Parts: sequence; structure tokens; C-alpha cells
Amino acid sequence: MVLFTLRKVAVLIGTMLGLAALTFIITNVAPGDPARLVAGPDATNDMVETIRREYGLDRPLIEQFLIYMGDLLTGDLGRSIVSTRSVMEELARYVPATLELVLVAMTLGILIGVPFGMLSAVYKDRFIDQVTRILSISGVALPAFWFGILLQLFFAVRLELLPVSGRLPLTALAPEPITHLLLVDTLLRGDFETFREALSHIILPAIVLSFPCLASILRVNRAEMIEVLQSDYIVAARAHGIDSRRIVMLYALKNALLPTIAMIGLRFGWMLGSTVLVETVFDWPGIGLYAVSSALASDFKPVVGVTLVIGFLFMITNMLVDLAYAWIDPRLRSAR
Amino acid sequence: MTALLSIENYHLDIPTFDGTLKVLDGINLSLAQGETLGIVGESGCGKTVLARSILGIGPQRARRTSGRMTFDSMPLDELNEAEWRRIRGVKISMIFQDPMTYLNPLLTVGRQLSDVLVAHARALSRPALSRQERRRRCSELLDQVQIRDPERVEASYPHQLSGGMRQRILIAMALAGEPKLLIADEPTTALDVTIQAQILDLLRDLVHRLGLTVVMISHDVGAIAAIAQRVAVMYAGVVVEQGATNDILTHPRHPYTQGLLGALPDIEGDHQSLEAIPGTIPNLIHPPSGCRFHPRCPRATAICTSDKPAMTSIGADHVVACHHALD
Amino acid sequence: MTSADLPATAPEIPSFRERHASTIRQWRLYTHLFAGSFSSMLGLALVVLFLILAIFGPVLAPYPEDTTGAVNLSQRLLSPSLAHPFGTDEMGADILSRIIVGARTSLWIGLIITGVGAGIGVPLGIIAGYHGGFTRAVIMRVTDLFLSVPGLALALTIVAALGPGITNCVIALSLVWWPGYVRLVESKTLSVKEELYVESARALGASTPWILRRHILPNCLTPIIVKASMDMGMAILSAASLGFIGLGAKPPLPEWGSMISVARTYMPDWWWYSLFPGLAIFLTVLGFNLLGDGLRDILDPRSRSR
Repeated sequence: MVLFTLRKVAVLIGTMLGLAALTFIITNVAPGDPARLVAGPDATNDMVETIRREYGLDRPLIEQFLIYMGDLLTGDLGRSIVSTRSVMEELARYVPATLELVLVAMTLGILIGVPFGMLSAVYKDRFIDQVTRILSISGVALPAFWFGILLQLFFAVRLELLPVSGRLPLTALAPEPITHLLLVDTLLRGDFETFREALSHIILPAIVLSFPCLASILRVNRAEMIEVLQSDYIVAARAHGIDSRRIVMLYALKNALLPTIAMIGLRFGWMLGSTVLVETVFDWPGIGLYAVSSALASDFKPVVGVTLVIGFLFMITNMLVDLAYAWIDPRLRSAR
Repeated sequence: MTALLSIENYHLDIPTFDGTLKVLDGINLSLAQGETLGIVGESGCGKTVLARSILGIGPQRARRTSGRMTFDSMPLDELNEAEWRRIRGVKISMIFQDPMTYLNPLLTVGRQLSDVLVAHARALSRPALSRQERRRRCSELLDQVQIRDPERVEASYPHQLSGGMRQRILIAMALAGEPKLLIADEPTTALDVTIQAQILDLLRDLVHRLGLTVVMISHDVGAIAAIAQRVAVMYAGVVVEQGATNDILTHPRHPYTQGLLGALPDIEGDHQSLEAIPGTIPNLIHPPSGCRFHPRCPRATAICTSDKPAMTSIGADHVVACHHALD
Repeated sequence: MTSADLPATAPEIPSFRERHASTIRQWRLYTHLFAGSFSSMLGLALVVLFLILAIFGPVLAPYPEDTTGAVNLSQRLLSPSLAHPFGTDEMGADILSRIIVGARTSLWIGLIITGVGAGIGVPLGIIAGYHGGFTRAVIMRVTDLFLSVPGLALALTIVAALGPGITNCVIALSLVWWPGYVRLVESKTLSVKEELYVESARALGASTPWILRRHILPNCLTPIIVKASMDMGMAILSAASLGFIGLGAKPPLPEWGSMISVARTYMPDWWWYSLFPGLAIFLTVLGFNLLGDGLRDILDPRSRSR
């Protein structure tokens, strides 16, 4: 198990380096002139040349690449042109908000997707299955940004039940950070008023973000459950008189969970990508919004920084999925 | 003596896109307490569907069109799920073909075995077994199927054990509820030849020692002969001949039985006797008229294509469904 | 064979029906299964509707001039009425017309992204799966690298580098779309390659291109068709997402995502402006997803029981 983990970590480091190289290629092979992009459309040639020198863009590509990689290894992601602050510092500020949102959304997705997938499989082709089927296919097709706007219209504007956007009201004070996750910190500090505020702010964006994920978890879990429920060992368990609830909850679910976990991992990455939409709609101060506003301002370093962070988080997730697999399936454990 | 299991004029259909498969076409079988019956036939003749129907775990889409099954004076076709639970494993139990796929790959053998014990206690409304009792009972059962190191085996996952070992475990599970009737569905087919002999020995030993009532299903006449006192020969959803094992093996009357026995390689060396039955098993959507075997039968005449042969007695315990049984 | 061996009477030529009995049965089964599924038929209907709008859009639109940038400030931001069922936008343009014509933009976006994705991914996947060794290692490493970041995030980076615009969006999405096909085709090729009929063809001296064309590609076709159908929807959705962020199509080009991007600033009082373009995206993507799902149900026997 230790060796297995170590090998995974090595792969992760390799992929991170590859990803860094890929972002470098994207920025430099793109036909646009990065210096001109930075300088803006109204800049004179002199200004562009100054920027080119300042950013080291006049050096040979190889040298630029080595400098870039060297900076990355020391944790230097460059500076934002708009705010002139270090991208690393800004990311540190934005990542917890995104992480909190994604974790809440993922919890929602799992808590709803897995049980409903099971129900749908057990009552295949019955009413509940039809409902979940339509729900799950629409879930993937819903444009997150549009769904978000609809929810805002209904729950925030029409019913005035929940706030329209943001992470906390302007008047509220965030607690002294411990984990940087507002929901956790407010609880740890015993500040229940702020906790309630934070919770009411996170509900809508979390629902929007979780919906497609919930839908695909549900679909995978349903499909796997149906397949597993037809397998020989389930027939045998029934023949031995084991009652159907135990068969579904233990015998079948454990086997069906493997592909479901793979889907959860996949969807986690997808969610990180979708934060650019959901955070834009809900003004959620996370890396998605940061990437979008930077991209719109042609501020390139933050966009690359966000891409690297998302890639990193996604790879960690994949590693955890692999470990979970080995933990559940004894065949994988002994094969290594 | 009343029969423990009786199957009367049982018809079963399975609807498919191409039409309805007439899988079982009027099966009549009965089995007394302590008897061992073998059902033999080619794959696809309906013997596995029949066996699973006895336990109510047949194909989901299958529909009984007529006939009935009675076990211990209970009508099996009318039971609900709760009533089935008081039968499966504790009154009727089953051994399966491929021991790899019939054990859950993600749970240890001990866990699966003790789950079966817990289920039985609940089904019979007995008090739940304590941890020690379950332990003791598990090793008892494993000992019964001649597993010598129960502790190691209980802690193992199915993939860590050999095929023969896994089959022994499945047998132990089937015996856990001390069932009145044991159904063995091709229990040796998926095993290596040397292991087959061991498992057959074990089964025969258990049958004698525990006085089990057994229905054993196989396409392997040799395996059937090793266990069963009586044999029923099935062809395309119909029982064509039935009788004492010795009688059937030495004096087969139905041309299909004769072909089936002739198709066995004769160990005594005379390879001349190896003959296959010509043709293939029929399409069960549009089964042949009259006798279902007539297209492949060397003795077929006009009457065989028009009239279904009735089961006729031709000996003390020997019945056959053929218009030309005595030719 | 000499002429003497031929039977005296003319051999009976089997009818078309008889010769293709199994193919006919197959297609009959497919149609039966497909038509029997409500969701598949709904998907087909939505896709057909979308295609009709995309092809005949300018003819069908009640105010075609509104889709090319006509400004009519006296008509701006009208609520839905008989004259303008979906209302008008901030330039006074008819939203229904812009949505109808927007179907063509979306169709092109979907076709190009899916086409380029499959066009790059399928050959690479076949090469990787069939050749193995170093070639495969290189192709799969690069593929994994692209898959290590969610597509939308990577596309955002590329668009940021290329600069905003609908063309750059399509380029960016095409660039992140191919790895999925490589994964799919590679694994399928690997398994088909081991099949006995391929081994025997190779043993009989069949050339590699012949084997690829005759055995490997047809076997990969089913999953490719299913994936392509689903991807049409997802590509349209992704392009609309970039449009919504403000990196995609710019007015007056009618594109659903960009329409919502503008419409959002008129929330909540002019809610219909956001509602209808989003509905168009949703129904189109839903249609392609349902269609792909239905196709998978009938074409992939493993999933048929599901």
C-alpha cells in the first residue's frame, strides 16, 4: 500500500510538470503576441517593447521555459497585471472559497445521487425510475449558468428566501480563519449567526454546481446496481435466503460503488471547471471568478495559475479515488 | 408415500423480441423424501430454468402458463417474498455451477457464510446467533465439506482460493440451513477433471451421511450416475424418459437417451461407439410439432410429426415418451 | 468447378428479403427498441426540430433583419406579446428571431468541435491501440495530460491566450475535445486486436491498413457514434458557456450563450430575455443527450439489459 501510494505521488509530480509545460506551450505557441496582449490595444510599439523586456519575453523560448519552470518550483506563479499582486497570494485567498463550494456540492451530489440510483435500479422501469431517469438526463443538459439565473430569480428575487449572490452579506464579519472554510470556521468559533448566513449563501450555487454531478452519479450507480443485481452471486445470495434489503445494501451496493467512485472523481474535476460559470453567476469569490475576470482583462498569469491549481486538485482527487478502489476491492489489494 | 416435491404439467414461457420461448412444456416430476434424482440433457434444454423455478429465482420475465409445483404440501407458485424467505436456504437450497462468479468478490468467505447463518436464524424466527456460535457453526460447516484450515479460509476472499475450494464453500453455504431438498445445478461442470471427482465424492458422501434429498442437474451422465438413484432425461423443455439410473443407463428406450449415452466416449476403449446425435437443438419459439425430437430422430414416422407422445410406463420404474419406444 | 457440376435447373435466387434476413431482423429490432423508448423518441424529435431551425432559420424567423444587427430603440425590452412571443432585447431586436437563427451558429459550433475532436482523436486512438509500445506510450501520456485538467478550464486558458471571440472559442474547445476519443478508441482497439478473427486475418497475411479498415474501425464505430451524439450537445453547451462568460461570440451574431451574458445585466426585471435563450440551449443539449443515450441502449448490447 505504501509503495502504491508512492508510485501515485510520482505520477502526480510528473503530470504536474507536464501540465506546467502544456500551459507554457499554450501561452507561447498561441499566435497572439503576449506582450501586446498585456499592453492592451491602445499601446504604442515602445510600450509593447518595454513590457516585452520587463517580462523577459525577448529571451529565447527555451530560456523563458526554464525560468518559468524554475519559478513554478519555488511557488512563484508571477504577478497579476490588474492587481499587481502575486498570483500565489491571490490564489491562497480564493482557493478556500471554491473548495468549500465544491465540497458542499459534491456532498449533495453523493447524498442524493447514490440512494436515488439505488432506488431507481431496484424499482427499474417503475415510476420512480422514470422520474429519476428524466431528472438525471436533464441534469447533464442544464446550462449551469442559466439554471443559476433561474434559481436566483425564483428563490432570491421572487420568494426572497435566499440571498442572490456572494459568500457573506457585506455587513457580516468573517470569523478568524482556522480552516478557511467559512462553514467550518463559524461552527468552530461558535458564531452561529454567521454560520446561518454562510449556509444560506452557499445553498443556491452548491445546488447548481451539484446538479450535473448528481445526475451522473445517479446514472452510473443505477446502471451498475442493475448489472450487479443480475450477477450470479446475487442469485446465490437470494437462493441462500438472505433478505433483499441486505442484498441491496451490502452485497450489491459495495460492488456497484466502485464505478460510482470513479465517476465521483471524474465529476469532481468537472465541478472545478464549472466553478468558472457558477462563481460568475453567483459572484462567489473563488478561483473560478478570479480566472474569468482575469481572462476578460487579458491578465494571463492568474488564468494559468488557476488552471494549475485546478489540475493539481483534480490529480489529488484521482489519487484518492485509486486508493479508495484498492481499499474496497481486495483483488486490487493483493495484485499489488 | 407422499412426494416431497412434485411438479405437475408445468409449462413456462419466456417472451422475447422474436417471439415467445416455450422453455418448459409440460414437466412432470416427483421426488420422495431421501430420494436422489438426476436431470440430464444438453445445454439449453431447460434444466437450469426448471431448477431455478423450484427456488423461485428463475428468469424475471419467465411466465408460468399452466401446471404447478408443490413442496412439502406448499404451493410454490403462490408464495410471496416473505414466505419464500422461510424456504430459501432452510428448506430448499442450491449449489451452483461456477463457484467463482457465485461468491461475492468483495466480501470474505467467513463473512458470507455467517451472513447466511444470520439470515436463516431470522427466517426461522430463531434468536440471533452470538458471535461465538456463528464462529463455531462456520468451522463445523467447513469441516463438513472437508476444509481442514477453516480459519485461513474464512479470512480469505474468493479470488484467493482454488475452484475446488470455492465449490466446497458454496456447498457448505447450501448445507448451512439443513435443507430438506438440495438442488445441485451442474456442480462440477466448471471444475478441473481431478477436482470434479473430489467434489462428486464429497457430494456422494454428504448425501449418504446426511440422508439428503437431492435434485442434481448436469449434462454429464457420469456425474449424474455417481449421485442419483433415478434419472430424468430432458429434451427441449420436455422430460422424455425417466427411471432408475441403472435401468436407464443399461436399457435406454428413448432414441434421444440412446443418442445421449452413445455420444459418451466409452472409457472401456471401444471408440466405435462414439456417435453424435445429428442436428441441433430446436428453436423453442417454433418448436417442432408432435414429438419435439422428431427432426433429429432416426425412427421418426408420420405420427411423430403430428401427435405428442404420452408418457407410458414400460417397466417397474421406467417411463418413456416415445411412439416407438419398443421398436 | 466445371459446368457439369452445376445443377440442371437454374438455381433459385434468394429474394432480397431472404439474403438479408439477419440484417433486416437487426434493424427491425433497433427500430422496435428505439421507437419503444419515450426518451429516445423525445431526443430524436428535439434534434430534428433543432436541425430544421438550423437549416431554415432565416426563413422561419419572423424578423430576420433583427438577427444581423438591426437597431430599433423604440422597441427595446418589450415583454412577450403576440408580435414578439419571446419579447425584445436591449436593441429592440426580436428574441425569438435571434434564437431561431442562433440554432445555426450552435449547429456549426457543435459539428466543428465534435468533428475536429473525433478527427484527431480517432486516428490517434487506433494508432495507440494497434501499435502499442513507445508510440502508444507517447500518445497516451499526452492524452492523459490533456485530461488532467477539466476541459472547460483548459479551454478558458487557451481562449485567454488567443483572445476572445467565437472562432477562438471553437479552436480552444476543439483542442481540448480530442483526448476523450483517444481514450475510447484506444481501449476498444486494444480489445478488438486480441479477437481471434483479427489474429487469424493477420496470420493469413492481411495488411495492417486492411485490418484497421475492415475490423478495427467498424468495431469502434458504435461507441464513436454514441459519443459523437452526446458530444454535439456537450460542445454546444461548452461554447455557450464561454459565450456566457463573455469570451465567445459578440453581438450582433446571434449566439444563445452570449445572449444570456447580455441578458443577465437586465435581470431580474427583464427575466424573459435570459429565460428563452437558456431554454433553447437546454432543449438542444437534452435532445442530443437523449438521442445518444437511446442509441447506446440499442447499439451496445451490454447496456441493453440496463
